[in-house]
Amino acid sequence: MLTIGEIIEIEKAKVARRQPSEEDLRRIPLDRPARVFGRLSDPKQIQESLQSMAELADLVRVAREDGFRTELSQEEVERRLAALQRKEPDTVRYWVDGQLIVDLRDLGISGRLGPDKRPALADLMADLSRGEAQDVTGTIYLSSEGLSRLSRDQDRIVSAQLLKLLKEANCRVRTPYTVLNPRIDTDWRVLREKFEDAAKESRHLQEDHFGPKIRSKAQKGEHVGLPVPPGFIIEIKGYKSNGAYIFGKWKPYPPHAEIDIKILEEYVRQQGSKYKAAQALRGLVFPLFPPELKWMEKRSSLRNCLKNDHGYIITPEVIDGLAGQLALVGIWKWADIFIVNNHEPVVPMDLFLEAYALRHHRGGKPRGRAAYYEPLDWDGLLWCLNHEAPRHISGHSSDGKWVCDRDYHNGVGPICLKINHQIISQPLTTEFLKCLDLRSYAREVFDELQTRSMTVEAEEAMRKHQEAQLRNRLANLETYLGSADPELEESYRRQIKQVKGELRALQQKPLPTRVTIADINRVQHFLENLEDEWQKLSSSLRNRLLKLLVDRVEIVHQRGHIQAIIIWKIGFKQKVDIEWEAGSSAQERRWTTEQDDLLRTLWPTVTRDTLLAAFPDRTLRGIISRARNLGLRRKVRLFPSHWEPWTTGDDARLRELYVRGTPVEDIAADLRRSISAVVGRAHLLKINRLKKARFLKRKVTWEVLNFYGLEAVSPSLLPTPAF
Amino acid sequence: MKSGLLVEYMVSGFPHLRQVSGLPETLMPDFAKASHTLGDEAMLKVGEPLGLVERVKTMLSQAPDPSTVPPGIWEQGISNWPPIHQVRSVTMALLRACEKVEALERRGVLKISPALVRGLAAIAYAPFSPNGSGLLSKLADILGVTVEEPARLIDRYMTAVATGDADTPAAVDRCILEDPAWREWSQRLLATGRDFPFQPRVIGICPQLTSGLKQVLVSMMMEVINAYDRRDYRN
Repeated sequence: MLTIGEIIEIEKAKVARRQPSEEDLRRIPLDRPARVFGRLSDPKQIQESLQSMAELADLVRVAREDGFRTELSQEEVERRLAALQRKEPDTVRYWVDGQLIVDLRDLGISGRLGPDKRPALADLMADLSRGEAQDVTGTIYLSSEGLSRLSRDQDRIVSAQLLKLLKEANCRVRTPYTVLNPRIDTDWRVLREKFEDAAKESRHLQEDHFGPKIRSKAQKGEHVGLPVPPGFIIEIKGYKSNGAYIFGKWKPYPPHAEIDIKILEEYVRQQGSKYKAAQALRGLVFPLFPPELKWMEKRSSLRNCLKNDHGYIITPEVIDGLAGQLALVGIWKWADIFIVNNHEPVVPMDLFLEAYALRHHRGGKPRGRAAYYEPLDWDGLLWCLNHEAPRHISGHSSDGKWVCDRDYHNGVGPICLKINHQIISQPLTTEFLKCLDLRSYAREVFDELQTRSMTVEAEEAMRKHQEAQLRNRLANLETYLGSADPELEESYRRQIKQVKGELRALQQKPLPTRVTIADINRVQHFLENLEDEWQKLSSSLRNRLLKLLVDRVEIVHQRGHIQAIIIWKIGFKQKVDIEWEAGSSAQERRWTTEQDDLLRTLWPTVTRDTLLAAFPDRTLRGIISRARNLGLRRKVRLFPSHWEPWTTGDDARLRELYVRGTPVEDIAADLRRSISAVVGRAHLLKINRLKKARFLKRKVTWEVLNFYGLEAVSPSLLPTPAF
Repeated sequence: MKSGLLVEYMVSGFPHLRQVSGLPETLMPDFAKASHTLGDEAMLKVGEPLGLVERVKTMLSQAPDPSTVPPGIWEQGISNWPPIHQVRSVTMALLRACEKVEALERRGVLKISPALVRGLAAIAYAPFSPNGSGLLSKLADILGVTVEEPARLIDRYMTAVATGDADTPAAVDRCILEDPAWREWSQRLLATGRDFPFQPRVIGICPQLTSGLKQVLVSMMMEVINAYDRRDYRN
């Protein structure tokens, strides 16, 4: 039989096993460390908010009164806080005093920020994340402002994390007036509401206080955080108590300002083409900020630009931005605030106005053509290997061109490749289809076709059924109308409206494409003759098929010649060497440095025939134009000084050559006249070229080399870039 | 001889020949169809001038049903064929030559003539023909290569064609036409080729049929069946 003493022990054990009461949970655990947590939003508050700082000293006293063992006297704590307020050197913001940790490292840091920018908060969260251990903070002492000291996170993420950590670590939140433990349901709700209130309060503060403050600063034309355009730096008016800058207006920065002028001059010279301007300015950069202006790196709009060792690269986007940047002429613009002559301009007004007009004239033109397009067959598969790293060649289906222009858009080089898509697509497609053999899948394709046909039929039947159901329902509802009960009447009308809406939506839904069942032979024929059927297919489908089967096409190109290697997903490779009559696209006509040098040497003295012989791929008009661009002068006349009349023989010869479609340059050379003279005479005589001569299709030839996996392929032939 | 037995032997034996000689799997996917289309008679007719018919007929009369021949016997028999080591190199050289001829024709610098086809066919077939050694040595003399390297004979011949050297191909053609058996063989071969009802594929890459590929092919079929005349419009 149990004794009374034993029964009492059993009952005591039961009590010990029972859930702790709310009173137990709110009791301050003196066996675990406590933490006094101080935070003020603005560094100025440390000096100015005497009440807040005094409260921190009070918190230490409260902790001591709660029973925590400390070694520092209250006077010493107050002295340390006072030193902090006076910004004395070597002040401490964090100390451990017996069982008490005083952490003031977040003083002067906004509560909106997360632990990545708040050392005290990060430390607290790391500590709490260790759970309910003996050495983990058991009580947090907060001033009367409560949880807003911990976080005012607007996304409520930090507050939610904190709440969870506090609960898991069984950590109490102690303010001068109350103790809360998130393990108690009611306390958890209170804490959550307080975090919410803190976040809302911060938002209101921002809207009611800081918003007007920024606006008032902006109205004075002073820096309010906008990226500073190139050509300016920010005037520093002073320093805040925390050492932060107090900014004034923007002021000119000559090293960048002179670049601004050069850019706008070039932009105007290029008639508003930011790309041409970027090309012309290749090599010119905005110098990097010197160490004493390092703080500008984060504040200048150049921070988003491409950078090399010498400075910030001038891209077409930079040029475009500058041409519309009002600040360059001293106009301050912030939201709806405009201040003329706010700061010193860095570019002449005339130049800016000209650039602005060009930009305004060019920009914003709607281009409806791009609203819908089908991709080119090989879109997304072509890679240009004429660079250090492979570059994607984009397909411009609106003008049917393959273009490799990343360097050009970045302002670091010319357009690498711009070519009629047929020059590449035709050989690649021909060779690809020649090797593709899908005939063995005729049965599977046929089965799938039948399945899809059945699905479409089922969909159509279902749709008809739904439509009939809705119509019946609508008819029924309409018979109920005219009820004496207004509420019922209203309900019917509402339902009728809803059913009508559903019916309309169903009718507007696009009909599924009907599938005409073909027999297996038709499918077989299609797969056998894919080459013949190819042009009947939409380019998006052709592109889909190619993307399914081809991994990539690597392209190395030079004038008039392209080497393309088709790499199939199954590993099969085809090398296609494409040749075409080069010289008609702008990219192909580009003058090289060597040609420029040769022209400089020849231009002053040699005859027209010599020039044409020296540049066999070029026309006389092209040579003259280039010479003008280079600023070259002739020492002898290029053309005879007197004009020779057209003879009957000349006219007959002109008619014969012109109608045949002979290039105008060749006719001009044949008749020893200028191109404009030839064209003008042909126009005068009303000679028309044949239509097919006007639109000559360039001949593309190619040679293929299929790799069967048996050849030893040299690495130079098959570059394997890192994709 | 049982009708169609030669075709059956060729169709059954070709995969083993491909395997033993090391030819790629993707090569000549239409071999069976082409053999069936051609038939025993046409094949024997082409081979007749070279004296192959009697040998083939004798062999086939004693041969079992090809479907009953185990793979090991096929492979052993093919491995024992003396010129088997030349099959791969000659085939690859011929393929390269065909690619080159196509490219030259596209460029407009070459017209595919009977002489060109005859030359390529004879050079490629001579190393494997029982009566081909005589022609081969003459061709080797013309092309400046030894008879042990028949693949190089094709390369040299194509180099001459590509570089516009008219004398060498003419000499090769003359050499073939001077030999009555090869002249007849080449004439019959060209005639058979001209009358052949379809153009067999040289390569047939057959990717795995994924569901994505199946869907695309079905969509393509639907577009074609729905009779779009031409949808290669540009925006």
